[in-house]
Amino acid sequence: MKQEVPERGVLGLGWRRLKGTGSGPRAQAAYRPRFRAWRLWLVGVPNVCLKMVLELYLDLLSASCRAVYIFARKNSIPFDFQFVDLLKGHHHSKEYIEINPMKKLPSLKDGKFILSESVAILFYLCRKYSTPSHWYPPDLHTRARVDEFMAWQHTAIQLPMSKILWVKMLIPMITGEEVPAEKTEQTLLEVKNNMQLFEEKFLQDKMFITGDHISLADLVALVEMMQPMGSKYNVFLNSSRIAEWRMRVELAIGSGLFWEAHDRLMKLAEWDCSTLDPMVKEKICKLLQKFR
Amino acid sequence: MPERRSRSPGVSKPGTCQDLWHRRPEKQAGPTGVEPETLYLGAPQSCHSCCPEPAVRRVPAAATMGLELYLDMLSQPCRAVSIFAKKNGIPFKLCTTEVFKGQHPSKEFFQINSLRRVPTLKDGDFILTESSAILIYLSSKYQTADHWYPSDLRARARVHEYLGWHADCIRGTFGVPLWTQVMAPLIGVHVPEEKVQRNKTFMDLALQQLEEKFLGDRAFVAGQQVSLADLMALEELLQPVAVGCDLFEGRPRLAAWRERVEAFLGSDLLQETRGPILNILEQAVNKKVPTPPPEVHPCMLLRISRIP
Repeated sequence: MKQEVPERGVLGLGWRRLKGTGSGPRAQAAYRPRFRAWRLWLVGVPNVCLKMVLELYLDLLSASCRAVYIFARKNSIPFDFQFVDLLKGHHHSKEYIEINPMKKLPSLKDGKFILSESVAILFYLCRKYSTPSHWYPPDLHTRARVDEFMAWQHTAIQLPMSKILWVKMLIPMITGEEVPAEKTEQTLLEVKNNMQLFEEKFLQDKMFITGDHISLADLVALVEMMQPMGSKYNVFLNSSRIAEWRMRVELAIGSGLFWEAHDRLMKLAEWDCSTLDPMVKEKICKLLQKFR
Repeated sequence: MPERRSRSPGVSKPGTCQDLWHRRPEKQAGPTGVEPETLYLGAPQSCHSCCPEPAVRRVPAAATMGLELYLDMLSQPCRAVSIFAKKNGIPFKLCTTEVFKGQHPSKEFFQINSLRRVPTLKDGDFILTESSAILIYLSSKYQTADHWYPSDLRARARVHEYLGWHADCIRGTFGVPLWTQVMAPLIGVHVPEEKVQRNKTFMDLALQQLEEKFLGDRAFVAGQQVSLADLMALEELLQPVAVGCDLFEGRPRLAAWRERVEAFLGSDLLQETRGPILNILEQAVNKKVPTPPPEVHPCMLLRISRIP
């Protein structure tokens, strides 16, 4: 008599078909659980742990996502990489809206705790995983300098760098329209001025922004400044001091990890934009009014 | 209520160090089980014989010369910094910097702040810009009540989450009505109606996100107590209100939040800080706002050109 096999075994681990037949108690059950009950605790622990692994919702096209990714990898923080494809509009999907109703990346999910904003995520990871103190130094003045840069970079670095990518490549690619030369020139000039301010105010003649060691400020600055590289525009050519700093940050992170994180950005020119979701295209066109 | 630390050397618990700059590491872990951080002013070294734990070294004489805050009360972040410092009894010298009277890009100010921005903090030789950085610095250095910048890991993450979103979606948006209605006309510039309408749309979207995502069913923006996030948000939202945009109409949750925060801060303090901005529209109508000098026109025009 064939015993009915239950759909799911113990903790979803399935059932084991016994070989051979006989008349003993073992043979009466043609199937038995894979693990004995007393081993359940061994099985239960990883199952529970798996559910508590940190989840990071990322697309490495975004500079903010790259900062979080590089930081987590560099500090061996275990996490599940949840890929949310910006180019296919997955950040507008119902599943992702439940994570972040503002449809932005990156997002962090730590058990039931959900956090957005890359700077907040970086500070959270720093503290929760007790990363080396040079990333976010405990000295009051040094930390204030990192906080100051993190606040300044939103409008001074992130926005204009991302604008170059849009103006030089994405807008012409997606809408088929060229951006007026005057706007492009304005954007490039703004970037040039802000890079100069970065050099004078934050970098000066130090190795890194806070002194002799890399910090979150350097990581965020560099990934943002890499953004125009997606459209083959290199902002590091204007200043040798910034170019040298760029190399130092890359080496401190590790060139392998650095270029792995930037691979998707560097291949953006090869993207076939006809696969872009029409709804997303419409939303992008509305967003473009900010840049025109 | 969290216990407020005394800052005066004469009022200390028996057995503790009398050194004003000594900071005892906190050992209690928050609800998330992560210990609060200890910040040091300079490298931690052993202190006097009365202190069993490492403490900060005495700060150099220059740093005890007093805190200076360069502020323009027409600016939202400046008001947030001023309110915070006064509410917490932080002694400082107010250096009023009236941006549009030409005081801003002066040589003396440039030496203080190469970014030529307000607010700016000068603490001895240490100079700091960016209001959120200044607020965090003041709350850490003067050890203000925990709710302003919570030591708990997740509560603090919520404050940072708000501040990040604020920099992207609130800053640069809620200051626009003052520019279109008062500042641009002062130098003879008319901002197109299309931009004014677009700005209203952006403000509506931001207010919706503020109400739904940050406020939700909580009493305050980043938790159940007032924090730096509420202060930053409130002063930004006040800017268009001061020039006649009633943002709180039809938004009872937001209006109730505003009342809670203002009740906590106190009406006297708010009236004192907000005097200039609340009078600006009336002054503009009566043509009593001084015309900005020519040297500030280029940076004003640049700001106007950035209105999307």
